[in-house]
Amino acid sequence: MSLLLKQIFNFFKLLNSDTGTYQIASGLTIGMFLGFSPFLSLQTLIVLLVLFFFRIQFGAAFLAAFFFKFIAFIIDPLADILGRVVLEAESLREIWVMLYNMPIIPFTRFNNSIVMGSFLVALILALPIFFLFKSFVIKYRETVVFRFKQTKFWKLFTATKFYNWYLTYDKLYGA
Amino acid sequence: MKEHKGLKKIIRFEAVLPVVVIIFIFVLYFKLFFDLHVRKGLEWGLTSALGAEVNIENFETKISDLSLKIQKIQITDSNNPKLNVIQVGEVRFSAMWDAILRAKLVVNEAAVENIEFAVPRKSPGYIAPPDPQDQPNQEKESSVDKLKNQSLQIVENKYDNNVIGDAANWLGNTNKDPLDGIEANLQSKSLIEKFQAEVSSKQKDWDQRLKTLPKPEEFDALGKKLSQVKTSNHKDLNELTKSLKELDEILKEADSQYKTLDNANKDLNSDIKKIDQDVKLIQSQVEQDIRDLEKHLKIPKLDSQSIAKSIFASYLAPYQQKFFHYKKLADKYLPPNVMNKNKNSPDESIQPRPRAKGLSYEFGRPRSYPLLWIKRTKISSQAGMSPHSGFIDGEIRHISTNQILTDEPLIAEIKGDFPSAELKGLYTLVKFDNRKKDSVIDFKFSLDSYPVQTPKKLIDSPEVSLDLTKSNGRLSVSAKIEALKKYSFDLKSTLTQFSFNVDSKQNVVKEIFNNALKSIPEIFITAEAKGSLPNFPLQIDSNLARELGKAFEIELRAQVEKAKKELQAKVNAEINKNRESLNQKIADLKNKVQGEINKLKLQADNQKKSAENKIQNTKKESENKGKKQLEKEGEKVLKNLKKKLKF
Repeated sequence: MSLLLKQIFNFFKLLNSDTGTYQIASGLTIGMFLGFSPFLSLQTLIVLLVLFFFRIQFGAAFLAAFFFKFIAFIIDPLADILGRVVLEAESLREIWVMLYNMPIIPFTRFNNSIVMGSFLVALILALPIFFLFKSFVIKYRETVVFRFKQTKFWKLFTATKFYNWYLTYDKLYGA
Repeated sequence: MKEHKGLKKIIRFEAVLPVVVIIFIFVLYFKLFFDLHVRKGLEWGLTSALGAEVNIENFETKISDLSLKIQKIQITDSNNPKLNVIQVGEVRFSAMWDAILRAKLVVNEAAVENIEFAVPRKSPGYIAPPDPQDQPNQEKESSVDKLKNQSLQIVENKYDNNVIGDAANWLGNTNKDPLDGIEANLQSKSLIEKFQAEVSSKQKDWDQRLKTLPKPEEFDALGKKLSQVKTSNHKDLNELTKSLKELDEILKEADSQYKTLDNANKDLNSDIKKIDQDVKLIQSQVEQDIRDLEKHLKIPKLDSQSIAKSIFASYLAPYQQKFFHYKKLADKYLPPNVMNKNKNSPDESIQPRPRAKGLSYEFGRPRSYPLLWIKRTKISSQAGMSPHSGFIDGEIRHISTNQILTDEPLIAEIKGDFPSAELKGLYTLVKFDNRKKDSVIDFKFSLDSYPVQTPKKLIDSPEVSLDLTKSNGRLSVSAKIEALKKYSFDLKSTLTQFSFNVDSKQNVVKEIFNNALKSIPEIFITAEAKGSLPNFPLQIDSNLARELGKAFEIELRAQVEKAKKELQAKVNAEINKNRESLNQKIADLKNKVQGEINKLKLQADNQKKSAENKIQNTKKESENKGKKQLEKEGEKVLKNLKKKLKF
């Protein structure tokens, strides 16, 4: 839990810094996949392993997963229809039959209409969402962060001993 | 922020340890808690599904060979929470790795051992309260619920439909006045009253009309006038013509009067005809009234079907309820197959299965694994291991979620004996075939001997009660359902070594029952139903019902005939009072009016005939006279001619 909290703090720190734009955008996009996938499925496990072993912003991914879980819940009926259309398509039948009878693949539960529909929605949204998040982070830093740093309150705060103590702590123990 | 370099920039090596820790926790969980949690989950799930507490003593899984062992499964009897309806000593099987890797469960052979029935529990089991959705609600009620309720109503309405009770009641109330309190409702009585008023009105009308008809004096005057007309010795032709003219006028007058009387006669006949029809109507109404009164008196219709239903409906209701219960389960768990386009066979490459969320499709192909397939389950048990155990030998073949893929129907065949419970010759065969468009479920069950649960109340009405106090039974049930709609149900039950307790206020009823029960060594009950759900018209027959029917019929026929005669007599007496006065009125009308008209008509007819005769005579006379005159004139002319020619 502490690891997760630390990652979420890091996300906000990274968001307010000048670096890691791609890291944040990719973390949010992966998080969206996580949010659209069923909890007990092979793809969730794969995404989690990717998050663990690749330097993708963990906090961003989990925040996005949390947010997109709600979105997924709302668009379930739409995903169900989309999934049914794709899974019932005669032209794709051979592919589904092959995948369904292969080892491991059925653990993705791709044969469920909502899982398939949600996965397709996530796949369609992946690229636009990545670029949208990237431009959002840049815009956020240019407007909100920059203006905040110009305020007297922030200047006063950075002059305090507490802030200096925090900077020293972050250098020593921060990720 | 730390800056990472090289591979570390992409890969998070520090995550290895947490992942290893997580894996270790998972392994530890599976080693220490997984079995416990699955066991608890199974207990909870099965308890919720069956509505009665289910306990599992031990649940063991082994990942290496994918084996599972479940020990001592106890299912509480929902009707008696102190007993387990069934207790299974051990269930064990091992799954195939090849199938598990494809997210399927395939078992080559499973074993179910040490099955016991009606085992006392250590503590009473939990029984779920009835689901509010299952409460009778017309809007939400499914067709199966309706059927179930129908079968329950057979038992609940026993007082209304109890022909035995009605018959007993009849035999006890034979002196009752059949018209008591219902005279006012006799339709025929009011019809006669109405008709009497009509006849009176008609009488008045005819009295009026008689006054307008030609009088006898008028005919006398016409006769006088006729006698004064000269009909012979006319001086000349003019006088003859005058007489003829007068006669013609008299004839026309007589004819006109005759027509007036004839019309009156026709009207009278039509009125009389209508009165006769109304009299017939009254007669049929009297008959209808008697039939209505018979209904009102509830004269019981005794046939062996009704008697059998009356006695054995409550005895058979649990079997009916079981049939509907399993039909409901089949509806829920056996979805229809998706068919191949343009082919009359199910499509193996796609079968949608509804789940809680969305649809999960099975994309099969020949000889591929279905989601679940237990190829063979061996069921065995030995008697003597406990007082509740018995000999059981059987097997269930091909339990699967998709028969189209396995191309095998589910067949369960179990034979057994439970000496301690006195159950002998148990045989069950269930065949479920869902490989074609319409599923077919075949069910056969037989039991050569079993002790019937007693005491069992078969008839419970205020007039008579019949309790089965001791009996052994033989049972054979077969049922077939096609497409979960078309069905046939056949039950044969035999009661042997029975004893009954009969109670009735009427000794005659008691005697009938006791004699019928003494005359038959075994009671055979058959129940049949065939058709299409949700209709389930159960035909029940029994030799006891037939015997009782015969005895009751003899007794009742005499009583009923007596009552019917009394009823007819009472109705006739009630109606005849009015009928006599009505008949009198009709007779008066017929005699008086018709007599008067006939008399006048005769007079008119006589006058007419005599006028016609006179005319005829006058005409003949004038013709003869003319002929003679012509002959004389001719002779004269001839003589003159001879003279001129000098002959």
